[in-house]
Amino acid sequence: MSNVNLAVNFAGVEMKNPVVTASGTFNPQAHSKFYDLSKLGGVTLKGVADVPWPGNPTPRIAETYGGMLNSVGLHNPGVEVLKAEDLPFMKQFDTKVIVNTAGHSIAEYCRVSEALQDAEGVDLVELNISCPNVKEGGVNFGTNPQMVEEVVAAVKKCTKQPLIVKLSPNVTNIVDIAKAAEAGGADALSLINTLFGMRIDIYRRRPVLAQKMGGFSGPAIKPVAVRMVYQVHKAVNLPLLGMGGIMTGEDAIEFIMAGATIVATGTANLVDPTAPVRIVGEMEAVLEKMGVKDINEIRGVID
Amino acid sequence: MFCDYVTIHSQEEMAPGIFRMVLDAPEVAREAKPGQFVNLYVNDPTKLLPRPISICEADAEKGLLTLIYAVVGKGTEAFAQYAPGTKLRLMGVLGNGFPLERAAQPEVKEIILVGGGLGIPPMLFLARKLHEMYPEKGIRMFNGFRSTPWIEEEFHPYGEVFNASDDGKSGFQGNVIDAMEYKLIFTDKDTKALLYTCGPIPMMKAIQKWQTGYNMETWFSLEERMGCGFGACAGCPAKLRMPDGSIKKEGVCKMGPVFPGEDVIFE
Repeated sequence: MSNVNLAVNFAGVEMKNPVVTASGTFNPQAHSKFYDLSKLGGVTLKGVADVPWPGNPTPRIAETYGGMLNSVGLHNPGVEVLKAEDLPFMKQFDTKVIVNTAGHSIAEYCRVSEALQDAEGVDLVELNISCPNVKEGGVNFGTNPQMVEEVVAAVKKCTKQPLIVKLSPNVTNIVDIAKAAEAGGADALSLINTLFGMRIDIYRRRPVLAQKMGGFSGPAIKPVAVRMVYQVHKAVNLPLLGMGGIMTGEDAIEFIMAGATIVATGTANLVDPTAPVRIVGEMEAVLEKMGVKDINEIRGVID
Repeated sequence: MFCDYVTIHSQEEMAPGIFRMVLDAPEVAREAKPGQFVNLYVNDPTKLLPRPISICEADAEKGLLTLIYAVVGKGTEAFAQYAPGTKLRLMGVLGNGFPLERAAQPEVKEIILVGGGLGIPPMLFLARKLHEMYPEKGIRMFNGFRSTPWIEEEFHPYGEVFNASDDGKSGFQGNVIDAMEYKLIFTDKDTKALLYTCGPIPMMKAIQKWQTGYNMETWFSLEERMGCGFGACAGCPAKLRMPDGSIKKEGVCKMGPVFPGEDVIFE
C-alpha cells in the first residue's frame, strides 16, 4: 500500500482519488471491458438531453498534431435511456457518477435536471453550457456572463445533486464567466471544454469535418487548460474539476497545483482506455517521490 | 479487451502503396472472426488516434494476424516504414463481424462475396471460414479493383473468383455489378442468395439498389472515420432504417461494422 492519500472531497462528495473521466469520452459498458471502473474517483456520463439528439453528420472526427477535433454535437439517446441503462449498469461499481446535461434552452436543461432528481446513483450533475458543436444552447449560454448567471441560477433551482458548471475556453475572459457561474449558485466548476478548431484537407479543398469546425482536445491544449484553471482558482471560491489534455500523472498534478480539486481525462480515454487508472498509479508514485503525503497539501500551491 | 504492444512478424508491399502486415498477436488471432477489425496505433505521441484496420486472416494456431492496408495518410505512411520486430500497440478484436450462420439457411444455395478495393482483404477470412463451415454451398467472389489486381490466388481454394477493374486490366472491364450481372444471369432466381460485401460507399450503395430484383439477403460492412473504435466517442454513426420505419443511428465500431444491407441509409 502506498503512503500517499489521494482521497478528496469535491463539492461535498467524497472521492477515493481525484481522477474522473470527462464527458463524451467515456462509455461505461465500453470502458468496463478494459478495467474495473471502481478504481476511479468517479466517471462522467456523456452529455444527455431531455429527449434524444441525433448529433451532427459525419465525418465527426479529425486528428490533429497532438490532439483531435470532434463535431459529434451531443448525439445522445435522451435522459430516460440513461436512467434505464447507464445508471443501473453503474450500480455494480464503487465510484461516483457525474451526469453531464445538455439543452437548447433553460427549460430543456431544467427538464434533464428534474428527470435526474429521483434517479438513483447520480452523485453530481455537470451542466454543459460550453459545447461548441451545437447551434443553439451549448456554448451560446457559456460565453456571456449575464446569460451564464441566469442559466446557472435557473438550473440550480431544479437540480437536487451538487451542480458543476462546465466552462468554455472560447471566451475573452474566463474569470468573468467563472464569477458569473459562482454568482448563479454553482457548487463547482469544471474546465475546460474543447477549444473551437478547424482543419482543412488541402487536396480536396474542403474542411475535414462535415460541420467544418469542431472541438479541439488532447495534450496539445493542456497549457491553455492549466492557465485557465489557475486563473479561475485565484478568482473564485468554488472547487474545480480540471481537464484538458491530461495524459499522465504529472499532467494531473500540474492541474492540482494550479488549483483543481479533481481532474478528468478526456481524449486520453479514447486513445488508451485504461489511461485514468494508470494516471492514478502515476500520481501516487510521483507524489511519493516528491515526499507529498496528501494530495490535499498541494492543491493551488502556485502563487 | 486486448490492448497492448504486439510485434510485427513480417511486412511486404504487395502492390504500390498496399502493404501486408503480419503480426504476432496470439490473443487476438484466437478470438478474431471475419469482418472484425483491430485498432493499430502509430508509435508517435503526436498521432493519437487509432487506425482501424480490418482483419484479412487470423491463424489461431500460429498466433498470427494478417492485415492489409493502403498508405492513405501520415499514420499508414509510418506503418509502412516499420520493419519486422517493431512493436506497436494494438487493440482488439473490435466490431461484430459478418453473421456466418446466415449461410446455414437451407434455402440459401449460393453465397456471394463482393469486395471493393481495401474492402477485399476481409473477404478472404470470410471466404475461408464459410468454406470450412458450409463446404456444400457454392461461393462466388467478385473483387473490384481500380486497375491491376493485387490479390487473387489466395481466394481460389474457396470458390469461383471474378475480378472487375475500371480499366479492364484483368477480368471484367467495369464494376463488380457489371461482373455479377453477367455471371448471375443464368442463376436460378428462385433460390435465395446470401451476399456479404465490404468496399467503398458508392459500390455498396449500387449493390443495395441492384439487388432488389433478386431473392437476396445482403450484409454490408461499413467504413467510417472513427475516433476511438470501441464505442466511447460517438464519432462513427451509421444511419439505419428500423423495421418500424424509424431511423436510428448506431456506432459503426460497436454495433457494426456489419449491418443488414436493406437497413443502411446512404447519404
